[in-house]
Amino acid sequence: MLAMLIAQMVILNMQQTSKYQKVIIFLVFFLTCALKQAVLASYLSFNINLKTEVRNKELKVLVTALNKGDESAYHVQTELQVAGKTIFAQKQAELPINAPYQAQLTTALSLPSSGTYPLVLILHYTDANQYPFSALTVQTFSYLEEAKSPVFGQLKPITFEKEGKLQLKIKNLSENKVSPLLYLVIPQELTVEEKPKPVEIDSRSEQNLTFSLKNFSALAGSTYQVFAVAEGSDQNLHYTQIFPGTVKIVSSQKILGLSYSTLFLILIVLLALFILTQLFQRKK
Amino acid sequence: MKKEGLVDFLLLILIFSFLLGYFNPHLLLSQTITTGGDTGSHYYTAVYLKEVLLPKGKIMGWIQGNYAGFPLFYHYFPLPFLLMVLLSLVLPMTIAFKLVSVLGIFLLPLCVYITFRLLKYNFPIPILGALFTLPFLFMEANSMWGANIPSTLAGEFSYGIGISLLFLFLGTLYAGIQEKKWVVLNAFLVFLLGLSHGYAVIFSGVIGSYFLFTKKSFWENFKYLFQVFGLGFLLLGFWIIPFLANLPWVTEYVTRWHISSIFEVFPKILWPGMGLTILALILNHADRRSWYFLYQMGLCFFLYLVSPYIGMLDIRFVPIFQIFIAIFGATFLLSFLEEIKVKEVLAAITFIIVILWTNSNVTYIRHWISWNYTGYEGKAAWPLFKKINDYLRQSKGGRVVYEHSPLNNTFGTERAFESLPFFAGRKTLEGLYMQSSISSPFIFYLQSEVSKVCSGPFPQYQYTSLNVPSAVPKLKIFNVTQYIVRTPEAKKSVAQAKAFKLEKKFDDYEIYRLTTNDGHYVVPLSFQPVMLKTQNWKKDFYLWFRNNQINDLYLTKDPLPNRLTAESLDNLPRIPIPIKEAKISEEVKEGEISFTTNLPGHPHLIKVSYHPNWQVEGAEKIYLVSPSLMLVFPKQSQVRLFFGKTIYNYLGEFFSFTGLLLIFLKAFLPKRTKI
Repeated sequence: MLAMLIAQMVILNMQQTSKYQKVIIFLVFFLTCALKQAVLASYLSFNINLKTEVRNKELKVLVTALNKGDESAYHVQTELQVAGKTIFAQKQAELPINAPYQAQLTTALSLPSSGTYPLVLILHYTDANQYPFSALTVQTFSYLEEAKSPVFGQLKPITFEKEGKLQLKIKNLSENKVSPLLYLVIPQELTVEEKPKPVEIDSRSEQNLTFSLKNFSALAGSTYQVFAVAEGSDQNLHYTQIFPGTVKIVSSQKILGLSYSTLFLILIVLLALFILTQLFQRKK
Repeated sequence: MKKEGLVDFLLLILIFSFLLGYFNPHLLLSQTITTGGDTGSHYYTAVYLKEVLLPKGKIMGWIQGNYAGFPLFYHYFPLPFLLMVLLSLVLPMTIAFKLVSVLGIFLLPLCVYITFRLLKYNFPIPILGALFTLPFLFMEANSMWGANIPSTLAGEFSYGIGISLLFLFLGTLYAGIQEKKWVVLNAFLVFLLGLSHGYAVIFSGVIGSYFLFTKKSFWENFKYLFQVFGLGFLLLGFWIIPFLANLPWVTEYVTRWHISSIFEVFPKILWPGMGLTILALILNHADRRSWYFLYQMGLCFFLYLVSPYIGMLDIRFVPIFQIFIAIFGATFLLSFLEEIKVKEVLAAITFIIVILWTNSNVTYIRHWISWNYTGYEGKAAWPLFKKINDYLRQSKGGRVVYEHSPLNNTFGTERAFESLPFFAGRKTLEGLYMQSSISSPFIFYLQSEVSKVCSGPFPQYQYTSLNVPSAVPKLKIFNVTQYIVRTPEAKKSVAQAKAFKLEKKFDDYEIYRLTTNDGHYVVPLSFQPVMLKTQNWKKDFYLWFRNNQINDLYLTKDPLPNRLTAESLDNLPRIPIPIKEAKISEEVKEGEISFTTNLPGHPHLIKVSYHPNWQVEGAEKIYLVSPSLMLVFPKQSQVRLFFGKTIYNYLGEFFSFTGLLLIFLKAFLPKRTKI
């Protein structure tokens, strides 16, 4: 927008504008464009909606996804992971822009106790180049009776290229010691080193946990949703707490062996040198 | 001046370094067979040129491996492959292939730089022009239009080389015509453009036409252009005359390309360059050189619009337009260049801005480069692919057909099995150069019958859906003996075809044998062939091929010795030919088929694609027989067919020789013009 405004100004005021100002406008125009990284590149994005219903020990999941990107998605398929089972819905060959995808999955449940349980939904799709992507969402459902989780926490968003540490801050809100099973649910493009493990948290206390993540095939410039899940038992009820977080993958921070910040520094120095030289010469 | 030259040199080195930051030299110099998109199928072509054609003194010739045989390089561009072979004299072919496959990418900034210099733009405009090619090269908005990195990685390196040379020609022609020099150089560039890509050489004519819009120098310019393009055409004769003469023997691919969004043509990465180009056109509209660029941009647009009506693919003109709008912005500085101090610093600033901008707009290119240049051998599925190929190599028979499937991409490209002739030494049906073959429509119809997902590339033909039992008679026509199956749906369909027997399983892949075909390429016909009176044999033979009720009764479009004719496909005379015991032994080599038969006079079907360059000894003539194969009536027991030369080859070679002779004479005659 700013770039267009400047361009318009240049055209309209060409007669009045000095040639030096033109150069500076040129630089500002170009620099503004370069540094402002808009997000208008071709992209795929989904709005996913989940509805769950448990009746007669049977879980029904209705998945609705809307392609909000600016290109079609291909080979769209839902994968549902629940209570140790994996179920796939029918594959849809193409999902055009703004077109809805719907799938209904049903599975019988045989869970040890009443309470709140997690379900993981993965929407698999490819772009026009057959490059595979997946969109992940984790949600809870109540089985016979709802259970309130005694734990609460927060995942810090992280940014990395190849490897990164994801930090989870978790606290026990109850008066009793709890030991929930903690694990991370991540898209297939990422890999986590830690396996699910129980974590003991004293009453009314906090803990910091770290998960080591690796980039397996995630694309630079993409942001991935990840979820930490805490599951445990409290007063004979199963509880589940989900902590959402994001992982942003960035491309190599080095160009020609120089970091972005070094390049910016050089750029600023050169710009200053250039502008000062023009002004100095003009005065003379 | 010296300092400016040094800055140009350093910045060009930095541009190449930036490119090498993506094209990891470690990958480019590793000895793996490049894959990814169409690229994976080009490798066999380079090997074939080196090992089969060039030792016989040929650049163009017959290849049996795909499309039931087709004429290689008669309708595709040999220059990149010749460069690969040349480089392979000092480097392994795998590396030579990789280096040439990226050549167009590295050439574009250099060619644009030289062109701006030849157009006499002062420092730093030429180096800025070179820099401004980077956003175009790294543009990810499309991967099929050509010249940008994704298209090159998808296999369009010939186009990329051609377009880079075209931008060099833009400068050499301008400089040459101004001073009436460089006739031979420009003619040689026309020659190289022709051997690189058809659309590049067509656009070179467009560039030349600009110089005819003048009253003052019309005849002088016309004479110059006549010399350049005339000599270029003569040099190109050996290739272009057979190309033009054999156009009836190709399959047309003309379509209006679907562009879903204006941002595909004007993607974000090009916006700064576009903005500067608009400003440059406004500021410098009085400069003659601006009109030169504007003319080319306008003609790109015009050609894009009219292409579908003149038998060309419109989208090929869009990348040329995009390069123009990306680079012309470099001339923005022209009107106040003299007043700018420390231009070297300005060039360095622009370099940093351009690489930061370009880098911030790149997402998948690095991954694609890694995918392509780690090669087939770098894929997790390579051991499986090798096992399948090793098995097929030792199991004999006719051609191998395979289920087309995106799942085959696990081997490096969906097209991996097109290279069965290279990896397994076995002939297959599908291939890369689909327009070069008259058999391709039939083969893609078969593909749709034996695959869950079909590619159906020719919009003028209709395809069908998975039905293996229905494909059996057609597979026999093309002498298929084995079928590679991948999807559960195709496995279910092949189970319904009794003629198929499961031969081998490799993980998810199954290989079936067509038990009702003995794998012979030369077979006696069971029914008298019939001449179909047709205005459009391609269309009528396609209808015949699809119809299993009649496709055992072969048709020609030319009069036959038996004088049988039919007006339409609805009333074909079905006259059986009694055959006593047939004893036919055959030998099918590259460019040569010989057989002995105990049935002279009997019509013999040769299950290899027809082409007018095929000649015969031991029979009167070769007939084109449905769907696209050859038929002979042997006069004797020994028959030999060979892919030779026609009058068009000789005429083309004569033209090329004349062109060389003219250059030779010009070199030794008193110089009236600078060469």
